[in-house]
Amino acid sequence: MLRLEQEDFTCGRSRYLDFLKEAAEPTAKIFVKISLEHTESVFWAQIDTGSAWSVLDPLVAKRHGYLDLDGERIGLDTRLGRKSGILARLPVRFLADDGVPFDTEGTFFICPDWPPGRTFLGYSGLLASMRFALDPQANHFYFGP
Amino acid sequence: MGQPLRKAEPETRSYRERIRELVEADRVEGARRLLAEALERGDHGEDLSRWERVLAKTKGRRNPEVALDFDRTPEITWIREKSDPYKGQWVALLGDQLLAHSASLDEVMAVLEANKPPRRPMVHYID
Repeated sequence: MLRLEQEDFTCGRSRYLDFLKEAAEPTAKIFVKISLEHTESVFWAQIDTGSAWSVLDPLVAKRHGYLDLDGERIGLDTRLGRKSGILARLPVRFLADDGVPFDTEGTFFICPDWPPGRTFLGYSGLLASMRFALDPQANHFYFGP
Repeated sequence: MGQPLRKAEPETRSYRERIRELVEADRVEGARRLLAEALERGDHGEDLSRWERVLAKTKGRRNPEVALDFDRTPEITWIREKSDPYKGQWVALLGDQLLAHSASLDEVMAVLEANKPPRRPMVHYID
């Protein structure tokens, strides 16, 4: 994987998508492959370095029982308006096509009336605690501790 | 003539309330600093364990025991070309094969649990 001055910089690499068919906005985004709760299913999640917190699809949250978590309740201003929900710490796995997968935890905003199908990975509660890099020529997402 | 300096008002709000206010304003580092101050003082009588957890910086780990993923071009092609009839549903795909679909994610996952696919499926909501 990527190395910096003789040391590993990242441990894994996966192919990312820069758009999904149904994405509401036409501009390029970065969708990476993750799994939650270490289940054997892959979901796409959008990298959002402009957001402090990750946001979890509410139907995925319901599936894992996260809607009933007793977390800190907050209100956040989002592009869909003011939303109320809880912050919870959840395990996230970055799946690798090459190298080694990466397990970590992130703080997710869980909001029952967030639209389904949209999971975001935010900066302060997740991405800021790991290393990542992009190769936009090849659509490669590099990640690691 | 200068104005007399106003005496700072003593803080009456709880740490939990002040941390929440900073978090809601996306001032995460400020929230972490305030939490650290509260934990250092230790005499506030508040349970800040939830804030400790959600504001923590986690160092993740490599996990070589997890199987590698693979090229998802067939799944993406399926979504681009064949997903229209499944709007508002969850689909489970492996390559260009549709393994399950339903408006209920639980139902899709139940199908996958009952018929475990040979490789990791992709689960996606068709918006």
